[in-house]
Amino acid sequence: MNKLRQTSLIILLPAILFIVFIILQGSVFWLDFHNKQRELYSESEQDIKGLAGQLQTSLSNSLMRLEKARAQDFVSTAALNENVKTVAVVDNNQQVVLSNNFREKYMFAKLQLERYEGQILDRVINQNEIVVKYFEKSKELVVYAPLQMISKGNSLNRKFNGVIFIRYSLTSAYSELIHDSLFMLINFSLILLFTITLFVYFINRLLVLPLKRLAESVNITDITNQPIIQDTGLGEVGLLQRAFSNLIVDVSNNINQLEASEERWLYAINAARDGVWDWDVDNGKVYYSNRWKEMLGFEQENISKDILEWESRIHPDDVFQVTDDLGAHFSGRNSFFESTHRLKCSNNEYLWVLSRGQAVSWDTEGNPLRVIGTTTDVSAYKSSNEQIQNELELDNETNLPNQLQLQYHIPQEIIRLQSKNLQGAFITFECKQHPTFDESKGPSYSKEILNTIARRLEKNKLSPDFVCHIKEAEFGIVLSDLHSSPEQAAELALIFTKKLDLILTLPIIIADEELILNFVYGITLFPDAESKAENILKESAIAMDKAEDSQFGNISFFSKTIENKIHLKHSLRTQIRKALDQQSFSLFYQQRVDVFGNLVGVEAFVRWYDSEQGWINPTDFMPVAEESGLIIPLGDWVIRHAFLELQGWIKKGLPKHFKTLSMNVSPKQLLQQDFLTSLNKYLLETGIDANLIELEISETVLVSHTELVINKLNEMRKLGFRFAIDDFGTGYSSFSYLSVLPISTLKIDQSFIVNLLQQENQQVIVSAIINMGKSLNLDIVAEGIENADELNLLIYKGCNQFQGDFIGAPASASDFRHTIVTQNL
Amino acid sequence: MNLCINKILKSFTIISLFLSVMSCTPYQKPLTIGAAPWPNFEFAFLANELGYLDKEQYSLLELTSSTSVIQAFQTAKLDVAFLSLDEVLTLVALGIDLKIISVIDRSKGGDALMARPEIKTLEDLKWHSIGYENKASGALLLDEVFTLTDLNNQTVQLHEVKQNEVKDAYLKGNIDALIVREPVKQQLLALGARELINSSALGLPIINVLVVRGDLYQEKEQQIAHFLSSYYRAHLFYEKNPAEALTSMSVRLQLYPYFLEKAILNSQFINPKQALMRLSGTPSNIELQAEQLSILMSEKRMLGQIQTDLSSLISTRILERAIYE
Repeated sequence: MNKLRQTSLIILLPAILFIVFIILQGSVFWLDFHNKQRELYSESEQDIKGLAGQLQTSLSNSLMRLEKARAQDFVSTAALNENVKTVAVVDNNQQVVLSNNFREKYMFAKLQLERYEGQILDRVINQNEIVVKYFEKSKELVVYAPLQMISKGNSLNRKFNGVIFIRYSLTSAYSELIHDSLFMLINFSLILLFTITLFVYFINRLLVLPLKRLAESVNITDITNQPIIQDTGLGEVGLLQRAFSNLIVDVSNNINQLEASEERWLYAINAARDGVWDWDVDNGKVYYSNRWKEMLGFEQENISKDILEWESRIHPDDVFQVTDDLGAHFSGRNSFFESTHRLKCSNNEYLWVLSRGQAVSWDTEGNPLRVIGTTTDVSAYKSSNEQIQNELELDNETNLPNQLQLQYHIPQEIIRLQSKNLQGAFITFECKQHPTFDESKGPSYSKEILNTIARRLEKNKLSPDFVCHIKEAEFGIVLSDLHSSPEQAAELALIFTKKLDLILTLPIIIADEELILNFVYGITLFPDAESKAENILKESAIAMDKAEDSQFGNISFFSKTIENKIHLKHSLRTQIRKALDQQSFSLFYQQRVDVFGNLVGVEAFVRWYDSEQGWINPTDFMPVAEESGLIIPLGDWVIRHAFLELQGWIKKGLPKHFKTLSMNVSPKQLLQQDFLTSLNKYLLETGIDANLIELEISETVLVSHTELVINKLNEMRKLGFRFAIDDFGTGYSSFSYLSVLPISTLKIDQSFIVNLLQQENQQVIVSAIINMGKSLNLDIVAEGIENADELNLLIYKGCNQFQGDFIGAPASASDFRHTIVTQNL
Repeated sequence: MNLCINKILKSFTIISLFLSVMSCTPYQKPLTIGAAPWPNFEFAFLANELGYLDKEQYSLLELTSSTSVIQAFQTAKLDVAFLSLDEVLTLVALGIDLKIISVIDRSKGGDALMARPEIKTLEDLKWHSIGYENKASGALLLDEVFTLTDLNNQTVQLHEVKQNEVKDAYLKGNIDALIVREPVKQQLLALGARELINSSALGLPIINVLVVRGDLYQEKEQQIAHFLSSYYRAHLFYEKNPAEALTSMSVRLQLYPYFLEKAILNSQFINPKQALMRLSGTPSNIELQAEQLSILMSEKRMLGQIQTDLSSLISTRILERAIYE
């Protein structure tokens, strides 16, 4: 097809003309020939009939006059036509009477005359009919004409007694016709050939040559040198030449501009040292510029043009990002594709590059077809950026995060803690000697110190905690997730700080010189209602400044309330210790009665009388004792003294219904390993039956160490100890453990009793507890009964033991001894 | 591309030339050859009978009399004709363009004046009727009769009787004497007619020649030459197989072979080489004879003025081809 397209018009046009002519002329020739053939046939038929007619007359005349010679003459003359093959007269005996071929005369017609059919003779004679027959194969016309050969006397009846037989061949005529037609055709063809030749000449001269010249003029490699185009062509050719001439001027101007522009871009790209790529998305082929290949350390040719070449080189960690960036551009979210990623070089190392591009053509469905862009080597930028980033994030001297990081970290921590509803602390501390060292020993010395501090800090911090170097010798620590209670959180922060101080004040050896550093610490808790990073930093700094005046030596809290509270706690602890030593604690006893008012038990309480502060509320010191672990010696003291007191009561005789002396046991105490040992020791010491002892435990102890506690309680139960759940209903009230614990008593917390009469809800709860305890066969003790109504209601509800100021207020040991005596009466 | 164009142009030129040549070649009609019955002319028909002639190329027309032949030739129905020299001159005088291409024979008794048996001499013919064919060579014989006797067209009654009508005329008996040619002469002899004078007595011999239309002799030279050689070949066949040849020829003429044999003897066949000799030279033998004959015939007012140079009537090329190729 292409070959045909490249064929010159000088061939194509004449060829088309020639073919059209051949087809048309061939058809015309064929039709014409057939028409002529038909005409010829009918003409010949007419001629031969005419001839037969003539002969009928002339032969009849001569034969009837018996002029046979003349008749033969007519026959011979009639046969002077080259197409007439036979002219013969046949008589009714089928004998040839006359013939143009003398040999046939007097012969039997059927044998001698070609195409003669004897049976026609009778028909012709009898019906006086001229019969014409055509022999298609031999192209011969045969005519039989009746002939009157003999006169019948006077009769007017025509009597035909012979036929004229004429055989007329059309072969020659047809051949001549073909010849003539061919002659005509040839003449036409010659005229056509001559016309085509002329046509070719003029086409060549007027169209092809000028177009060729035009094509040659246009087909030049350097269009910037404007080619000269002849515009001498005729008509439209001239128009075309002029149009091309103008076009070339325009194009070459545009190309010059384009070249200049391209040169600019080229220089720009070369200068930028960018690699250019051109991605044919449909075919998955990419043109990579030499610089692109060079960046990855490849020669010009040894890289495939496939997009996979690129894709496979992207660092596995970056593939997702690059795909995402591409997707963002292709989907129209970004007007440009821009992605920084790593590409594998020829030496298998990765190079940081920045690829930027833009889809320049799209298909109808909005899919990109072609994307062009550049790739820039950003490894240098990337590494310097990393350095800057590090510099921005890490402190130079200590390699710890700097203040900027801190400022970035705190807000995040605030949000996190707020969401978890926990308290954290920010601690600022400073080495007080640092300025002195800096001045006296030089910066490297002081840097060494800072470094040591930093390492010690890092070593001792917990993983979620954040440490940083703020400035000079000032450091910061963010403690997260301390506690939900600010006080607890502050306590933990304080403990951490103290521990840190111990570590930081360990001796440091620098240049064989041992030195011990001093630090001041400022602690602030966060988040509060208006937590802001700057505020937190400021607060801790303020706290640190005041550290030397602090109650904790070198540690100060920003919030003085908390500091005071903690301080109070600490001093309380000291006092408890002191009180234990000085025996400032005493036991008070409160009676427990049954529905009949019989004393069925006594609960021992610890009371502390300070000579300066007077009676100290157990709710103040008990948590501190519990928290600080002082509860163990205190609890031990309580148990021992209660046992001794019971021993005294036993000696004097216990009331009739007396069943138990109960005392509170703190979880810490209960979980203590030698708790049972010390109990046994006191039992032996006092000789008391363990059945008389009821240990009250709180629900909370069951929450964390259920299995351990159950085992321990079961073990003690075996020894005879009884157990009561104290303050039942306020804590972790899971009914399931009631069935597995070896408990004998439930004590309804006094908070249920206080509003018992006013609130029906409380009554329902209390009823439920009572019913449940009853069904478990437990003693139910209602605490804090302050009037008769409450007592009556509880009795009504089914409670079987009662305790409270209305029953009997707690009394000192000596006073209670009197109560015991009274009961015994 | 130029090479291709050149090739195409060359092909076109060749096609054009071929077509031109084709278109210049006229349609070849068969060569029409005509002859009246005469013994030596029969070899043409014999050649045809022997298959020497292609029926597509040659059409032999059997004519009954010299007059028919002359008329047919005159009206261009014939391309080649067997005629006597006087008949040729008659045609030339009529302005017919022709060429004598060969000499066939010389009548030596083949033409004769035949009379009823009761007429014994030429003189007896006075006041009798004589049948003759005006345009044919028989007229010369009649002229000779007038020359030899005191008879003239006032003293005898002349009738135009063509060669083919002779027998009928004789049989009808209304003509007393007839100038006849072979082979009819043999038939009349058989019917008892008396031969009063024949062509051997003539001063100027009756020579039969082969003529071709002037516009054809070059164009169809090869075809005519082939006919001529076939003619002589048939004669050769006759010489070698006379019985067979005579039988074949006599069928056409409706004669007994021995009649034909006798008839042949009344003429002197001129073989091709002799014929060539008679035609060659300046003036050639035939030219001289024709000139004499034309003078004679002109004198006798049998012929109009001949404008043509008689030498131009003769062409030996075809005969030469027939002999030597």
